[in-house]
Amino acid sequence: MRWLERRRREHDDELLSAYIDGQLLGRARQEFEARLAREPELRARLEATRRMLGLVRSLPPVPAPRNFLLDPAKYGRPAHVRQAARWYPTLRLATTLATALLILVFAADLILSQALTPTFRAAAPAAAPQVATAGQGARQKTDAVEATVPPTPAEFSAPAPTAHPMLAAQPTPPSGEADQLPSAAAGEQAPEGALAVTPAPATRLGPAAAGAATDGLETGQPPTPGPTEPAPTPTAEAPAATPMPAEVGQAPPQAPLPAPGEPSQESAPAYTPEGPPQAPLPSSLLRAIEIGLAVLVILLVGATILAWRAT
Amino acid sequence: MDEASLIQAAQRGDVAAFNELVLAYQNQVYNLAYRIMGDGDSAADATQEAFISAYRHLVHFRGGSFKAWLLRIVTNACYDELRRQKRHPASSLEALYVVDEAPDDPGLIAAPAENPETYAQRRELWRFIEAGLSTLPPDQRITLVLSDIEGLSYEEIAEITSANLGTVKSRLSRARAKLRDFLMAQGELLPAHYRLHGEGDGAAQQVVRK
Repeated sequence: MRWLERRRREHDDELLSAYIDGQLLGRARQEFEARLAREPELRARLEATRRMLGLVRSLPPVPAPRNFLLDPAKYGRPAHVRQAARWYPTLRLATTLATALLILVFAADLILSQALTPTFRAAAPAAAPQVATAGQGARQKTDAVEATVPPTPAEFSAPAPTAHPMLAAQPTPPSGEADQLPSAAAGEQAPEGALAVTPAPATRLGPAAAGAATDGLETGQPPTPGPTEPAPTPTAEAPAATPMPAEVGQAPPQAPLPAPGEPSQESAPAYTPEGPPQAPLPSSLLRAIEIGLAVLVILLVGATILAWRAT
Repeated sequence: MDEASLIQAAQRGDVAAFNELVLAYQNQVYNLAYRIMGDGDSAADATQEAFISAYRHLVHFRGGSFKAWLLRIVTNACYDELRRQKRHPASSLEALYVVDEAPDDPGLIAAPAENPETYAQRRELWRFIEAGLSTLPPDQRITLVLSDIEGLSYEEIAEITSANLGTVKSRLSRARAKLRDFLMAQGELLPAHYRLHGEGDGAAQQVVRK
C-alpha cells in the first residue's frame, strides 16, 4: 500500500516536471489541470517545485577562478607535425585504395595463372620433340655422344628459355645418364677434346653421377672438378623445352657465348627457341605491378601511421 | 577570427587559437563543473582536464554546436572525478557537504549592493541549495544542472549525457522532487522569508515569500 502511494507520488512528480517545462500537451495537459483544480495538495507541490526552481535559477554564475589556458610549449606541435596531421585523411584514403587495388591485381594474377596453366602443359610435350630434333644436329657433329634419350620431365624444370641456340641444340640426357653431358659439351665447344668439358651443374648431379660422367667420357679426359663447382660450360638441359616461366629465375649461369664463326653456330638454324607460350608476358607484368603496389602500400601505411600519430 | 576559424586552426594544432576558445568558454565550463562537483578545487581540476581533453580530441569534432560538445566533455570529466571520489570516499565527503568558502564562492563574487542582512540570508540560501544539489545522485544532479541552471533542452541533455529522452525526463523529475523535499526539510533553517511552510499533513508544502 505504501509502495503504491510512493509510486503514485513519483508519477505525479513526473507530471509536475513535464507540466512546468511545457511538455504536457493536449488531453494529458487538460486532465492534469483538472486535477490541479480539485487537488490542493497537488497544486501546493506544483507551487513548491516552481519556487524551488526559481531559487536554483537564482544561483549566481560562478566565474572561473583562473585561466585554463594550455601551455603552447607543452601542447603545441611544430608546423611540420601539424602539416602531417592535415594529410592524415588523404593518406588513409590512399592506403585503402592502394590496398584494394593490390588485392584486385593479386586476384587477377591468380585467376589468369590458373586459366593459362593447361596451355603450358599442352605446350610442353610439343616443345620436347622439337628439342629432340634439334639434338640430331648436335649428335651428328660430335662423336662423343653415344646415345641420346628424350628429355625427361626433370629437364623441364630446368633453365632459361632464352638460352643460346647452341645450348638449345644439345641433347638433354636424363639426370641418371649424366655421362652424356660432358661429351656433348665437349663436342660443341672443344671438338679437339681439349677439355673445357665439365659435367652438368653440380646442383643437379650428385657426386656419384659426376663420377659416372667422367667414367663415361670416351675422350678419356681427366675428371672435372668436384661436384660442388659450378660448371662454366653449357648445361645439357634443353632450355627451350622448359615450359614453366616461373622457373626462369632458377636458371644456372649461362655459358659464355661462342665467338662468331664457331662450329656451334651451325646448329643455330636448326633450332630457334620460340620461348614459352604468350602467358609469361601478362603474368610477369602482373607480378611487377603486384610488387610495385605492395611497396606502395607499405610506404603509405608507414606515412599514414606517422600522420595518425601527429593528429 | 570567428569561432569556426579558431576551431579549424586549433584542429591543426594551433594552441593559441585553442586558447582563444578557452577564454571564451572557461567561465561557462567552470560554472557547470562547479555546480556538478560542488567544490571549487574539483571543479577547477575537471575544467582543466576537460580543456586538455577537448584539445586532444578536437580533430574528431565534426561541426555542430561547439558549446554542446565542450559541455559534454566537461560533464564526462565530472563523471570521472565523481567516480574517483566514490572510490575514495574519505576525500569526497568533505567536498559533498562542506560548502566551499574559497574565494570563488559565488556569494563573495556576486556581492550585491543590498544590505548586509539580506545578502547574508541570500548566501545562506545558496549554501542550502548547493548542499541539496550535492545530495543528489550524480546522474540526477548533472541532469538538473544542465536543465535548470544551464538552461539546456531535453534533447541537448540527452546528447550530452548519452541517455535517451525518457531517461532524461525521469532523472529530471526525480532530481527536482528530491531537491524540493530537501529544501522543505531544511525549511526551519532558512531565513524567514525563504522558509518552507507545511500545509495539511506536511506532504504538501510551499515556499512562502514575504
